[in-house]
This record gives sequence, structure tokens and C-alpha cells, in this order.
Amino acid sequence: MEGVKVLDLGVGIPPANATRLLGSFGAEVIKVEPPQGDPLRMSGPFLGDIPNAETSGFFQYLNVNKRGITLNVVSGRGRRILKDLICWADILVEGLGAGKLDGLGLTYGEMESVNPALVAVSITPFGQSGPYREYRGYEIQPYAFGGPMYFTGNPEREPVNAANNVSDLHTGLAAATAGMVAFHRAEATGEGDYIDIAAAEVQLGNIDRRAAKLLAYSYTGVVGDRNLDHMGIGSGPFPCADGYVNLLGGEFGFDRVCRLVGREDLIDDPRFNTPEGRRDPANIEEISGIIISWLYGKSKLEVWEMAQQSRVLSGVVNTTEDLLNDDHFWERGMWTKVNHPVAGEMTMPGKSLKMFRTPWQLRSAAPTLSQHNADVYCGTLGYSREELSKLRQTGVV
Amino acid sequence: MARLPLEGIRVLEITVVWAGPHSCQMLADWGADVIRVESTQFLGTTTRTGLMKPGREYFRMMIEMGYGYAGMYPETRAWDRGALFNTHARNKSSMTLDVTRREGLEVLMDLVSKSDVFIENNMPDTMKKLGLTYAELKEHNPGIIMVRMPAFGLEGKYHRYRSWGQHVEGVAGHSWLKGYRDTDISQRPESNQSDAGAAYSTVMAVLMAMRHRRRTGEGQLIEIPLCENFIPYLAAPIMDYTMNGRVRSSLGNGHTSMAPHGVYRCKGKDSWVAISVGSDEEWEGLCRAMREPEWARDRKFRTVLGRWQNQEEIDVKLGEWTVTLTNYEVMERLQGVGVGAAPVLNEREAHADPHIKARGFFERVNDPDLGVHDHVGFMWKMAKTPNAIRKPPAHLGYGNEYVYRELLGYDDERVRRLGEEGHIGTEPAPHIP
Repeated sequence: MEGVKVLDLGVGIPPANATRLLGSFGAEVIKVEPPQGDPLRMSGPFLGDIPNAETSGFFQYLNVNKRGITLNVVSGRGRRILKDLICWADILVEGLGAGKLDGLGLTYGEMESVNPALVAVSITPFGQSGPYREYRGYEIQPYAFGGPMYFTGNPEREPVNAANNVSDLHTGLAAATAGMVAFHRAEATGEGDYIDIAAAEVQLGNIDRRAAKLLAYSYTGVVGDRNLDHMGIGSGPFPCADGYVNLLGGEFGFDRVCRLVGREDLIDDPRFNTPEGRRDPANIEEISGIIISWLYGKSKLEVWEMAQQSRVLSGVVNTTEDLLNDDHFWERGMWTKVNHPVAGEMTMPGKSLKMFRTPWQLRSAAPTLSQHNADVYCGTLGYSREELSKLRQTGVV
Repeated sequence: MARLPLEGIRVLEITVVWAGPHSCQMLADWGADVIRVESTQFLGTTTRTGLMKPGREYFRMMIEMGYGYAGMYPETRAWDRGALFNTHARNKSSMTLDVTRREGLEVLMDLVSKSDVFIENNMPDTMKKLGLTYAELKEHNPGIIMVRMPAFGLEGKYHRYRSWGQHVEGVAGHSWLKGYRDTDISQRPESNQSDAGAAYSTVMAVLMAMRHRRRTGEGQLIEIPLCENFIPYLAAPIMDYTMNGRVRSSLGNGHTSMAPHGVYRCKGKDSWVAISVGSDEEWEGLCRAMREPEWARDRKFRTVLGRWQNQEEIDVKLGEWTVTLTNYEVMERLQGVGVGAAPVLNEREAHADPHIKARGFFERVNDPDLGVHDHVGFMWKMAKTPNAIRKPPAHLGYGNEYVYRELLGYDDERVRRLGEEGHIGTEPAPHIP
């Protein structure tokens, strides 16, 4: 992505993640923060649990490989500067809220007139159109509304969310992806595009079961249930000596699980050899009991290896500590160390995918607040030092 | 209609389950010519359900799980009718060949030489055995971009391990960090977010690689392991550990800093709403909507920290209020005062929702074999290149004519022979159960 210029207008996790991804493969990213800083700077975890705008681990992770400037886009002067930045950019990503850019006088038509090749990506919870376009949504609302929440959990209880940030980071990845689709065309034709990303629609189309169930409803008119035994008999996290292992039984793996626990005899047992028998709660409980007894005293990594030898689709249930202590991921280069002038040395996720010729790069730590003001305003946009100090005095930057 | 952004890119896929097919779905959606390479000799575990003639019981089980078939209990071509497959199969062509035999491999390599991208998410060893490595593909097409999506990597001690998204998420630490906070891990539900994550990363990386190829002429291999691609979704808890040594556990429907933040029962059967309060103004709005002036006056709820520390007390009363209203009534009342609230929609409600309808999310697709159904639409909208589903889900082998004749230009004799030898067909071989 060398030579591609990306403008991160914030706010929130999705735009930060989208621009992080583009920057990590070589794009030049300018992150625009309000003069008081991106609110994400005050979101934890903080080094030593002491809140500090320069030591949020999550902010640091989301903003590597970016230059950072401050700009009050609400002021008239600020808006004119923003327009200069829009002329500079190839791709703009923003999550200010539905219609907010329009409110600043920056409709796509206006931006297009100064930069016809601009790819602008707007991210909102519900989209730029439709009756809920201005509805407030944090991460959980689009997930509840669009995503797989309804059928996730115990049927006797409330449906449950994914872990914090998972959906927001995913929306950011979707924004980077959509931006690349439009940018592919923009490079070929010279014509940019405007992308309207609704986090709720990313969730509606999500292959994490939701999309399939929405189509199945069109086919059958049946709403699937919320069910903890979803993957069927012999499936699910089971306790062992030092934690849990997750095995896949059910229609696809029951025979393999039986072989794993040394009970081939159960495969053809008339109680278990029909789909109906395999769904009987009493039968499921019996099989779970057999598996749990077999697991007694065995460690999760030991079981995982045995399960794999029996071709059982499986995984261990790791805590974050287990994950960070597993050689596999260190040897593969999953973790990277980043040095930051205030936060010091931090270990964070690095290479998440490998492009063999154009690999992921760490070029710089996250910017400190307003770190690159002079660099960007004078170097990139060509303002004089005097102009910059005037902007400072008037609170524009 | 304007040319779609990815027109002119040809993609071959040999993919299974979800992550691989979903990535190719997005490429196809936005204009790429995606050819699904399949086989009449093998139906794939879950991809086309793996069963040639599922029994009535099987269909009923799938319906109850919410993964039913077109026609409910179809008597023919079940492999073309399951929602699990058809969701991601639109806009693609399906062609068949048996890649385990020399002639099949030759056909595939002919196709490789006419393609830009090759995507697969099989076991690394399976591809090696078939002779489908990047080195082999490159022999036939030096500019080819190959994406491989193993669970844990092409190398490393787990590279042979078999896992689906839900297992990968256990390894990545997600299973530990989600689900009810008051139950043990066995009560925590599955999730397959890592499949979708790897699918999006694939599309993004392919387009980056296309750009590199335009500028240099070089193709490349791209490796997207499901697990490593998903681990960064947990960056905050990971950094809490690396910076502070803290091992987090699940917050359930709670949030690290917001309260109230959760899912609350509404009037009606199994009906729920998700509510978040992120600021003092929103808290005041919530108190107004609930007509709770005492809450608004109570000092302990005045700050974010105070609300967070007393969230259980808030949750009880909030739940007593939501249960007197429908999920949509709660949304309307709270959004009216600027508070984030949305119903937890089931499939019926999602199909009927006025906002989703107004946005035109669902797309009506007419499949000559299956009839007319509303399909899941596109995950984003593009102003200059509006989109519509162009082709119904790819039925097994229905793209053979296009691929063998139009694209490869094989003559009658060769096509007839490949048909007799079990490469070209539209039905699984009779030996498949």
C-alpha cells in the first residue's frame, strides 16, 4: 500500500482499526484528533492501571503506523484545513455519526468536487439512510439487532454478547475491506466512491451463523432456537485437569469422539446411531459423562494432541495467559514489541496475516497527542510556521 | 448499471465450511468472476452438507436448528438447497473436476493459468498431497495470487491441527472472555466470528496483492490463519495481560466502563433489548424515559464510576421496566431521549424490520429450481456502484458449460471424455452416501 494516503477522522474503534490495517501494509496514515484527544486515549487497559492519555494499551495497539495531528474540525478554519487533508487523501475513514460530515459542509459531492478519486468510508451503527439512521448505538446494539445474539446462549436466559470490542474491530476490518474494493476501482478509473457501512448490516451478513439462519428463515419460516448443545452429542467444552477442551461430536464427529475415548462400541449402538437418538438429552448427557470421566486427570494440551490424532475437530480453551505462554505463537511471530516514548516497551499482536512479498510492518508506535502537527501542517500541507502557531493560539490545533 | 468494482478479476476457490466460501462470496458480490471448483466424487463435510440424500429426520433437525433447506424436505438435489451452503454461494459458478486424478489436475492448472486469484482453506497437508502448493501454481501462472487459510498456520507445531471457528476462538482466548459471567465455561455458547474475520482479511489482502501485482508484475502467496487473524480482536485483554499481568474473564453482557450495559427481558415470548448508557446525559435520558426522578437525584449514580459500581442495582430496576414494554417500544422510548437501545432480533423480526426494509438489505432472488426467496444482501453500500445479486446460489456443476466450453475452449470430444470419467457432472457419484 506504499504511496496510498489514508485519513483517519475517527471516532471510535472501527475507523481506528480500518486505518491501522491499511497502515500496517504500507499506507501513509494521518490520524486527526480533536484538540483534547481521541476519547479512545482514555479507554483501558492502562499501564499500571493509571489513566493517562499516552498509555492506553488499546489506543497504542489501534494506532501504530500513523502520524497524529489535532484539529478542531468544528471551527471554520478547521473545516478549511480538513478540506486540504481531503484533497491530500486517497482513502478517508470516518465514524463521526450519520450525516455529521454533511453538517460540516463536507457532503460526498463536495469532497468529490475537490478530489474526484477519493474513496470515503463512513461507518455508523445503522447506516446513513433509513428510519434508525440517527439512532445511538454502541457496539452491542448493532450486534443485538443485526448479529447472531438472539440464538447465542442458554434458552432459559438472556442472549449473550461476544467479548468487548470484537464486533467493533470486525466492523473496522469490514471498512478496510470495503475501502480496498472501492480503491481497486479508483486506481483503475480515477473515480472514487462513497461507502456506507452500517455495523448492523455487517452483522446481518455475518457468516457467524446469522446469514445462514436468515436465508433458512426465507426457506422454512422457522426461527431457530437458542441452544447450548448446538453442535450436538459429544460436543462442547469439557473440563479436564487444568482447564477445558472443546471437542466436536454431533453429526460430523460423533464416531471420532467415540474412538478418542476408546468407546468404538458406541458408534453403532442403537441409542446413538440415528439423528434422533443423538439429539435425545438423556443420551447427550450419558455421552458427556463418558467423555468427562475419560478426561479426568489429563491436561488440556495433552487431550488436544490426542483428539487431533483421532481427527476430532477440537481446540483448547485458553485464557489470555495460556495464549501468551504458548511457543507456537511466539515462534510464528504473532507478537510484536513496540517502543513508545511514554508507555515504554509493550508487547502487542503484530502480524495477523502473512503476505509473503509485501509483509506486515511495524514502522512506528502510536503518535503522542499532536506529535506530528508541525510535520503534517508544515511538511505535508505546506503551511508556514507562523500560520501553525496562529492555529495553535486560536485553538484550531 | 455501472461496472462493478471487481469486474475483470477471476478467482478460483477450493474451499470448505465458511471462512473460504465467505471470502469468495464477497469477491463475487462485488464483480469478480468466481469459480467454485468442486467434485462429483466428494461432497465436503459441511460445505454441501456432505450427504447426498439426507433423511427426513436430518432435514427436521436442520430446520429446528435454523439451517433448513429450500423446499423443507427436498426429494432431489439436497446439495443445492441447504441454507448453510446457499448463503455464500450466490454470484458464483460451480464447476466440477476430480483433482485427485491427473486429468483433473490438468484441467485445474489450465484454469489457474487463466485466473488471478486462487483461494483455499483446506488442511495444509491435503493441498500438499494434491500438488496444490503455491510453487506448483506459480509454474502455471507466475502472477497468481494464492490465499491459504489454515486454522493455525502452514508451519508451526499446530499446523496439522483440525479446527473450526469455534475451536479456534477457544485457542485464541475468546471462549474464555465471552458468555455468562456467573456460569462455568461449559455453559458458554459457541461463536464463529473468526470465520468471518478471516474472510474479510482475505478480500482485503487479495486487493492489496492485486495492487502490488499491477505495479510490479509479481504475484504472491498469502497466508491467513484463522487463529492468528482472530487473536488481535482480543487486543485489549491481551495488553492488559502483557502490561499489567491481569488475566481477564468474561464480562457477560457487561462492559469494561459503561453501566448500565446489558440485555433486558421485554414483554412477549423470549423478547429482549440491548441497552447501553455511555454518558451522564444518557443516564439522565434513561431516568426521564423510565420516570425515575429519584435515580436522577441519587448521588451514587451520578458518575460513570458510580453507575458501574452499582450496576446490579440498576439492572434489576431497569429489567422490571423493560418487561412491561415490547422490545421495539423500549427502543423507541430510549432512542427518543438519546439512549442506545436496540431489540435483539430473531430472524422473523429481522426480515420484517422497517429500517432493514427501508435500507433494502434483503434481496429477492429467483432461482429457477428453488423458487423466489429473500437472500441476505450486501454488507455495505457503494454510491457509485450500486449492486444487486446477479446469480442465484451456484448449483453443483451448473457452471461446467461456462468453464469447460467458454473459458477453456475444450472440444466436444474432450468434454465427453471428461464427463465419462467422472470429472464433469451435475450430481454426486452414486457411491456417495
